[in-house]
This record gives sequence, C-alpha cells and structure tokens, in this order.
Amino acid sequence: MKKLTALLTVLALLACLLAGCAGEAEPSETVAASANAGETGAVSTNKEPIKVGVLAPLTGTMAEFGKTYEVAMTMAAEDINEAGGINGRELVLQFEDSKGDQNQSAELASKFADDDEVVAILGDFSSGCAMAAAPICDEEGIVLLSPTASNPDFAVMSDWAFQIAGLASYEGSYAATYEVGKYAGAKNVAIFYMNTDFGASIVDSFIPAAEAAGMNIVFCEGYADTESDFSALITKAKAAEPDHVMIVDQTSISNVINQIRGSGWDVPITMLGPSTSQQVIDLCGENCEGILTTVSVYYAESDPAAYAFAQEFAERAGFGATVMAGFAYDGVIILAEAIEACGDNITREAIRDNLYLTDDTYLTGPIKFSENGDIVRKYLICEIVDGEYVIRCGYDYDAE
Amino acid sequence: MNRLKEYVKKNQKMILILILAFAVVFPLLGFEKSTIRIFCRILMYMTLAGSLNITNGYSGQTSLGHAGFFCVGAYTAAIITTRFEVSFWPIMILAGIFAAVVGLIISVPTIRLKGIYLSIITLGASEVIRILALNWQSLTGGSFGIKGIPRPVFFGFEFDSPLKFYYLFLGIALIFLFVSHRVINSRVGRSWMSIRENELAAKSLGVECSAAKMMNFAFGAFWAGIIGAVYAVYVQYIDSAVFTLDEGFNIMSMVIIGGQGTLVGPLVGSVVVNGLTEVLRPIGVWRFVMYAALIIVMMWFRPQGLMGASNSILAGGKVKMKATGKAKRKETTP
Amino acid sequence: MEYISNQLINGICQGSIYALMAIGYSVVVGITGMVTFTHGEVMMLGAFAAYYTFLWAGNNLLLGIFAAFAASWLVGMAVYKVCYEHFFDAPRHISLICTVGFSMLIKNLAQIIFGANRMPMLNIIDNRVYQIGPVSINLLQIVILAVVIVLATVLSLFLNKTKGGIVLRAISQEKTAAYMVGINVRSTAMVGNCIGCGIGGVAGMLMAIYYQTCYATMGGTMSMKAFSSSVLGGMTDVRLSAVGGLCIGVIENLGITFSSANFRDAFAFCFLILVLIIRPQGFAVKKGARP
Repeated sequence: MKKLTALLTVLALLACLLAGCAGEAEPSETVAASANAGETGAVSTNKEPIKVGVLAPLTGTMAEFGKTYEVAMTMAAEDINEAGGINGRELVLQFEDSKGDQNQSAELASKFADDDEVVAILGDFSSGCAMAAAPICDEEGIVLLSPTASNPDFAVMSDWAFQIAGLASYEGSYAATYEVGKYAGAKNVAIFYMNTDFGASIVDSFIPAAEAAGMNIVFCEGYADTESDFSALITKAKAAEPDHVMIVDQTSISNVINQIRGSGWDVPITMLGPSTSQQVIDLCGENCEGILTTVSVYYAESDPAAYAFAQEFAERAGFGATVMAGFAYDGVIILAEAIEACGDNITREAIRDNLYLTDDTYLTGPIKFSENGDIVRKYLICEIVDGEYVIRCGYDYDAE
Repeated sequence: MNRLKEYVKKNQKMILILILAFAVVFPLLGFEKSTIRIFCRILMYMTLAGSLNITNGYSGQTSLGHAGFFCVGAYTAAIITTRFEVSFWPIMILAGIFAAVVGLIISVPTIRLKGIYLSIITLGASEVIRILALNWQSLTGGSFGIKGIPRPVFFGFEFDSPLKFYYLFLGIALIFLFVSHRVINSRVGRSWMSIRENELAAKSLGVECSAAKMMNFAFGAFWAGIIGAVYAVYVQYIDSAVFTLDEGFNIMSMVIIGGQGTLVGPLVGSVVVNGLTEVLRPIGVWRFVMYAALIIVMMWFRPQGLMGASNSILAGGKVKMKATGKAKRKETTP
Repeated sequence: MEYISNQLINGICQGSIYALMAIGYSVVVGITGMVTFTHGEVMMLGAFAAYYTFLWAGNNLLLGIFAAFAASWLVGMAVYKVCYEHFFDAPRHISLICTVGFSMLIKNLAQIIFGANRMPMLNIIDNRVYQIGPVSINLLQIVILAVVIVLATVLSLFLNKTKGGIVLRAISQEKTAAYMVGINVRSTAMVGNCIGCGIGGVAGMLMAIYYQTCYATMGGTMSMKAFSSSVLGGMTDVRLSAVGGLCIGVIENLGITFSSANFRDAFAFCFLILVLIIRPQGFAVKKGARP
C-alpha cells in the first residue's frame, strides 16, 4: 500500500511536470509575439535576433511593477523591430521572473551571463534585487541596466551597472528645496516614508536640503512597506502641527492620502515621482485634489509621443502608466541604441562603452550617464486639479 | 523493491562513498556557472532544511520561524567581516553560536507550550528578528542592507567562484550530516524522538523533556546560523527582505516534501523543490500555482514526505484510519 | 490628553478590524479544531467578490455583503474538502501545511486572474467624520466596532445556547463521541467552517471599504494579525478572540505613539509572546484547551 502511494505520488509529480512544460509560458509567448511582429516589420534579413535578458518581478508582492516592465518593454521592442530592428537584426527580450527575490535575481543574472546569446541585462525592478545581481554582472562582464533602481549605491557598485531612474538622493533634495520649499513655501514639514532603500535614501537627502532651505522637520517617521493603517501615525503627525506633509511611498500612497483626508485633516500634501500615476487618482478620487508631485516624465497631450505611449500602455496593461513605465521603455531604447552603435561586432564590452556615450533626449527626458553609470534627472512640479495632473513649474524651475 | 532495500542496507558504506564521489566530481563535468549556482543553492538549502528537520522532524515541535536563525547567522557574519579584518572561519562558528543562543532564548517558552502556540511563538520571533534587522540602522545598515561582504580565504585560497563555493557548501552539508547522524543516534537524539512520539511517556521514562527540547532548538539554530554566515559571504549583499516569513515557509516546505524525521528527507526535499522551481520556470506565473498544488497533493498522498520516517507519528494516522475503516466495512457487509 | 485619547481611539478602531478577522478565524478553529493559514486569502476573495458586485450592481452594500459571504462560503467548502476532511485523525501539522499550500494557491491564482494592481473601492458608503468631544471618529469605524460587538455576542449566544451551536461545539471537542450520539460530523464541520469563512469574507469586504482598496496580496499580513489575536484569545472562544484583537490593536498603536511605526509588528508579536509565556492558554479560562 505504502509503496503504491509512493509510486502514485511520483507519477503525480511527473504528471505535474509534464503539464507544466506543456502549458508554455505567458512571458515567452509575448516574446514570441514581439518576435513575429518584428519579422513582418524588419527589412527581411536572415541575421539572427539579438537577445536581451530582462529580470522582472512578474509574481510576488511586486508583480504590479513586473507587469509594468513587461508591457512597456514589449512595446519598446515592438517599436524597434517595426522600425527595422537593430541594424536589421531583430531585438528579442527574454523575460525571467525574479519574484522580487534577491537570490533569484542574482541567479537569473548569472544564467543570462552564461548564455552567450544574451548581450545585456535589463532590470531588476527594485534596487535591492539589482544590487544583488550587480556583483555577478561585474564578475561576468555584462551590462546590467536597471530602468527603475534609484538607490545611489547601485551604479557605483560596478562599471557594468547603470541606472536611468535618476538618483533618489537628488530627487530628495530637489523636492525639499524647490517643491516643498520654494514652490509651496512650507515652514514645518512632516515626512511619512516607506522604510525601504528607496524611502530611506530620499529621506537621507531630503532632510539636510530642507534644513538648509530654512525648514523645520517636525515629524519624520518610517513604516513597513506592508503597512495599511496609518491612523496612529497621522494622529502623531497632527500633534506636531506641520504646515506641509511629504509622503515618500510607492505602493500604499493612496492609503496614506485617503486616511489623512479621511481623518478630516486638510493639509497640503506632496508626493514623489514613483507614486505619480493615474492609479493614485483612481484610488483616491477627490481626496487627492491639490496634491503636489515631482515628475521627470509627464504624459501630457501637448507631448504627442509621450501621450500616445501612455494611452497605449493603459490599454495593454489595464492600468495607467507611471514614470516606471516610461523608464522601462527608455531602458530598452537606450540599450538598443548602444547595441546599434556597435555595428556588426556586438560585444558586451562595446555595449557598455557605448552606453556611457548615450547623450540624447528620450521619452522620459534627456539621458546622459555620469562616470558612475547613473544620471541626475530634471523634474517638473505638477499639481492634481480636477482629477488630472497639471504642470505648475517647468524643468528649469531650479535654474530660475 | 524489497531486494533493492536489502541491497542498499548491505552495501550502505559503498553506496555512500559512491554518492559522495559523484557529488565531488559532478560539478566538474563542465556546467555553466549559473547551473553551479543552482547546485550551490540546493546544497545550501540541504543544510538549512536539514537543520529545521532537527526541530520539526526529530522532536516534533513545529517551528515556523527558521528564517530568523538564518537571518541572525547571516547578519552576524556580514557585520563582523565588513567592519573588522578577521578570518571568516571563526566568525562562521561565532555566527552559529550566536544563532544557537537566540534559539535557546526562543525555546524557553517551548517548555510550557506546544502545538500551534509554539508555532506562533517561533513565527513571531522570526518576524521580530527581521524587523530588528530592518530598523537597527547603525548596526545592520537598515533598509540599505550590507554590501561588499568580503570573500572568505582559506590559507591563501580565496573562495571567489561558484565552483569553489559549491565545495564549501558540500563540505558544510557533509559535516552537518555527519554530526547530526551521530547526535541522532545518541541518547540525546533518541530522547528527541521519544518526545515527538509521546511526550508524556517520554517523561515517565525519565527523559528531561525541557532540557532536551531546548538543546534541540539550539542545535537546529546553530546550523542555520552557520549556513547563514556562508550565505552572506556567498552573495556578498544581504538585506532583511530575504528573511521574511515566506522564506521560513519555503524552508519548511522542503522539509515537508522531502520528508520529516530522516536525514535523507530534507536532502531530497531541497533537490525537488529547488529543482522544481527551475524546471517549472517556463510556465512563468503559473509555477507557484503548480508548486502550491504539489504541496497539497503531497500532504494527501504521502504526509510524511517522499523519504519521511514512515514508522513515526509524522506519517499520520491516515493509513491506520483507512485500514480500520475498511475493516469495519468488511464486518458490516459480509 | 487629547492626543493620547485620540491614539487610544485609533487603537480600538484598528483593533476592531483585527477582532473582526479574529472572530471568523476562531469560529473556523473552534469548530474544525484545525488551524488555518488560508483565512487571509478567504478575506481577500470576499473583498474581491464585493468589489465586482459594486462594479456591476452599483454601490449596494447589502448585495456586497451577500456576495462576499456567498463567495467565501464557497471557498470555505473548498478549503474544508481539501485541507480538513481528510485529516481529522492525522497529526495537526499536516492540515496546517495543507492550508499553507492552499493559501499560496489562491494567492497566486488571484494575482493571475484579478491582476496584480490595486483596485479602488471609493465612496461605497458616505463616510462622515464625527467629532465627539476631543476625539474624532468616522462612520465606518463605528460600523465596524458595532459589527464586532454584535457578531461576538450573537455568535457566542448561538454557540453556547442553541442546539445547532452546541452541535458545532460538540464535534470540535470530541468527534467520535459526537458521531456516536448521531451527529453528522462531516457535514456539520463543513457548515461550521463555512460560517467562519463567510464571516471572514464579510470582514474582508469591510476592510477593503475601510482602506478603500483591495488587491490580491492584502490577506498576507492581516491574516497573521487575525491568527495572533485568535491565539491570544485562546483560539476557540469568539468573544475572547475579539478582545485579543482589540488588545493587539491598542498595544500596536500605543507602541507607535511612544516609539516608531517601523516596529508595529514587533510590538504585536512581543506582546503575544509575553502573554503566552505567562498564560500558555491565552486569555481562555479553560486550561489545556485545544488544538
């Protein structure tokens, strides 16, 4: 009897495996789809496709952002392939699911590095995962371009590591000096921040800049990234009597805003780029009227390319585009240009060297890497009015 | 099947040596680095799951917080090696001892608690450890984690490639198996198993239950700490996001699938679970659905796991229950 | 003083949400005698059922409650069939691990089916803020607190005074004996489990309305809190579990008041561990209660 059950279990295991293999992956299907689109669009060349690996958290708690990656990057690859590919060769993105897990991210990076066909790696979404993959990419000598990592410690880890999201340290001080200070004219600021490397690095740069600009930080508290109830923090912040609230968050921004307004507290609120999306407006409704935000990308109707991108993204993904979507799109474009500049002889070194030469304006604004492989972005200040973002100050506000 | 079993029993030593030789030569067969990394992970989880098996499988105390001990070990090694120029090896032992102390502290309430109450204490303790690691900025780097952890050096021989780490993980797994084997077959090990089968009876036969349980926790935590230290120098960057409850459940599922209460069980579990996550990768987002379904199927058909101790209470009363049920039915329908 | 009392009110409101979850949880544990880790996912499904109802049928709260209850009742049946029925005589850890697997299954399926992003649940009810003396409290907080009190009283009356309730409790205490006095153990246990899950689903819906959003991974941390509250209350007693939830809520919020929100879960777990060290059976009066 026992043996029989053991045998049955083994059979069940095997059946699961077979079923699994037969089920074929969704991500690889999308890749195939983009490949087909490329074939029809490309000026028929028989050259082999160029493979780029993508690390993305397609499952797990960050799956929302993995989806952003998948949709935006597939769009970019299709655009490139429709325009004839890279020197007539087709660009193929190979998505792998890192689950937002650092170990997985590192191992997958190693897997891409071993695959001679993969010329470069895009990702991972979070700074933590990207930083786990960086030592491996450094050892193996393959470009790791993270479109969204903003931790100032990431790109300095290796010559091979690049980030285009703009340094969190600069965004923090920009928000302090110009958005909260100069534009909003705040005196006493309360900060709510998500205690992750993103939140902490923003706050680390925000506080000195704010103090230099003559503001008082009357309240500054972090919370776990899984937090959903902020009532205690809000009461605590209220007692400190700030005249402006700064929220540094990615996922639960709508919760904080809703609960601040829900408690009947009518204080000016500022948030940051990564939180800025149509989704915040959907999730907060009237509660987010008048909220200020810094953005480096603005999908306005006045900018047709960006607007069309945001429209198509929303259609494909089923939710509005954040700046992350633009970064992911640009990551692919920049990488493709760097590969294209290599000409016929595509090597991983050449791609790295060409990436450092990147200097142009893209969907999300001008991109030019520093010698570390990171960039400092320019920001707009927007306000939410009647359920839409309205630009209040242009890119050159800090120069005025 | 029986003949195979007998054959295995007769030539146990030779088979062990063969397996060992295979494990030593295997990675030299020209695998890519990423594949070696997967082997490293499998070996790492073998020890980790094995150490959880000491608590869950041998003494029957369902601990859900093994990630906490792993975390303590990893952070101890990371903090000391990045701040002081010391050799890694004594630090590794220190990390183990430190984790064992934490295990000892956590085990104090276990003297009075059992079952689910014990599980929730271990689970809570694991979370508290992670939250401390996340927030003790000055010591653990807070949410930035610790990066640039130096590689260990052994008499001028630097562990700088996955292949070298493979042998390090293999060595640790072997030492762990050897030590555990000796402990399990000693008086202490037998007292653990007697607690698992029937604590009251064990007590009445003169087993010092509380002391045995505390020792059991400390022993399991010690090895989790050791493997945590090696993990830290292997990945060179750690932050607290790795040591969540999910990681604890992940380790536990290896023990469960492989089988509790035998030394081989967690080894098989680690190979199966880590192998599965790789094999199922092509099905993308569906692979965790599959994995979860597999755990349930496993519990239904073989609750003691693939290689579990089928002669223990862990195998469940299911087999017995079914037999009696059938017997009853036979009686009623002549 | 005003500050502290406001924080206390916050704690009670938060605690009443935990209590709401813990009530469903302790009904499940009290009747099946098994610990569950799927409760968070049951709540999540209840919230999603309500979300889609509101989407299609407008903001009809009663309909939402019905949908949430029905959906999680069905899930409860599935959980019972998969995780409990088979394992009544087996060691407890087997069904526990089964529920862990089942929760993983539902969570990942939900993420595939419903999508990974957050869904808005705005303005389902007109949420006014009342100013009572120095403290402010909103309508939904009052509703949740009322629901907790009503549920706790009604359920404990039902379980202790009516025949149906006594039957449910009987099977949780001694299945063989219950079988011998003519109770259909399997179907009764299933109904009991489904009642618990249904309450959990409604709790999930109220939580989603309260936080104005629902998403596939919302169950995770919350179900840990429900679990802790329930353990604090001795697992099986509905009223004490509710008290446990309130205690955890207040302790957490006081901890945040005097320290930092980073340590929220640490406060909850440390409090739990302390209580269990002093009183291994939680708040429950009876010693040696299961499971």
